[in-house]
Amino acid sequence: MTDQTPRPAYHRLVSSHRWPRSVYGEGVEPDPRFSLANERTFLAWIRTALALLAVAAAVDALPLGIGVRAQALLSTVLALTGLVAAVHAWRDWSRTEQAMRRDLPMPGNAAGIVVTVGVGLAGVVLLVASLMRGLA
Amino acid sequence: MTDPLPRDPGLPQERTALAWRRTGLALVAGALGIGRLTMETLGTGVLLPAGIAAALALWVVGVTLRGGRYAAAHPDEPHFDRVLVDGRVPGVVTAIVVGLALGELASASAQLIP
Repeated sequence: MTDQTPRPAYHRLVSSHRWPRSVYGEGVEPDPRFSLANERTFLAWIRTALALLAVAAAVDALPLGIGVRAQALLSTVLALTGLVAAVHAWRDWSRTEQAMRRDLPMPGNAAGIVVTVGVGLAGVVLLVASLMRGLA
Repeated sequence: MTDPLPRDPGLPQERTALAWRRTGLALVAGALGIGRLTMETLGTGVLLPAGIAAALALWVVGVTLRGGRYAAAHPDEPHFDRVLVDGRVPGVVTAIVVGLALGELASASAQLIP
């Protein structure tokens, strides 16, 4: 292919108006396959956050027989974990895109530990509340 | 001159388009579902923010279904025409989910601290 004419959308990619500037202000366009993989990772984290929030809402609204306070605590833990997952989705997407553009090392995944602990904590709350109900 | 055949056998563009589709639909369902369930604890006041969240989620679905609105051609790889134009759509998606999380937290803590 010898056609070097820029495609109509080309200027949108190299324009300095791409938001956020912290991501697009510097560096070169990475391999599109890596950008697409980064997008899919972002979307997977968003769906994880949505799943946690859906369970939090269900636990908040439907009677489980473990007491209103225990359900509210369980729902709070799950909703906070979902919030962390959502914020991580954005932070990880922008920092990864930034690292790829500037050929820097990839960001770490500290939020993965937080989400693991959050889900584990929700399990503990559910277990303890169920046991206390069973023994009462 | 778009190449009709994707050159990467892993079909990254198609997989990404499908990921956007299912995430967009999950966002709409999440906004409506969480809005409906938190209405029990927070009252009808949640209808407005839930409606805004659902409308934004529908916007995301529309924008990502019609690839051209959110995507641009890659400057060096013309057959990749679905790279994100910039971070605006991911930003809106994140804002919707953070909003839903805060709504759900408000609902849960209203019952935790009576």
